[in-house]
Amino acid sequence: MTHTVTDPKLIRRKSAFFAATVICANVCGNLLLTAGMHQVGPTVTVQLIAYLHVLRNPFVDCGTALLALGLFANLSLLSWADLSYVLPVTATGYAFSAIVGWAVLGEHVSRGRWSGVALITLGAILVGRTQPRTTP
Amino acid sequence: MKWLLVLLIVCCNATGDLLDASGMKRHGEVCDFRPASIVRLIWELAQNPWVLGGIAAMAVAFAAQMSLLSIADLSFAVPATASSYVLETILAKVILGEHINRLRWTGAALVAAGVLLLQA
Repeated sequence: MTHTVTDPKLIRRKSAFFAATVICANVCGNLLLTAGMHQVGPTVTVQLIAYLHVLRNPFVDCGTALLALGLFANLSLLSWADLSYVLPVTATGYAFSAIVGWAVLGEHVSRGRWSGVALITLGAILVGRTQPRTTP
Repeated sequence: MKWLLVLLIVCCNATGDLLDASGMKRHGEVCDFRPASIVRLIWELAQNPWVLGGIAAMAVAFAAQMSLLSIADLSFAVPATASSYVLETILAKVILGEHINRLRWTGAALVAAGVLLLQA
């Protein structure tokens, strides 16, 4: 557990696991934040105190906690993987967000948007096949 | 207002990701995930100026994103802010010196096209 992973197959598996964690945490976190912020009502201000007020909403709290977990998993992933690997792979989260927005929040998803979901998934699969780390 | 927030989110995300990626490479590979080690890692990262700068940029992006989510749907907010990664892939090559082969460029381009379609 404490040894640096050098086997390419293991690096790939470890990267995929952390990418999946980042994706799940971000999708669920954004979903909860949206639900919470829609309950709180429009909040567009530079006053930081207003953002402390929205933390009284439990959906906002859980969403924020999940996004923090996603941030931590993302930082760990970046400690060994390329940014140009991490970004497209974790972009799958946006495809999932569209699916979740459709399935849970009842948002309308057009045919064009479904094509976007398919392209993002395909692109992430291609990037996932490249070596996660290319720098020394 | 929506698009102004999107611009702010894109700039802050790009800055944040580049600083985080540099900072974490300087820190070295994280490979121990026992609770005590995670606490130590968080303590170390709290003293890493690159990571701190990155998180500060992310915090601004996060506040802007909360604002955006309060006035727009999730399916507008998320893909609109996602466009930042197009810029970031180029910056990863130019600034971080990552080697991006044809497969990765193709994948990144497909993701970019997908993100644009998501906004349709």
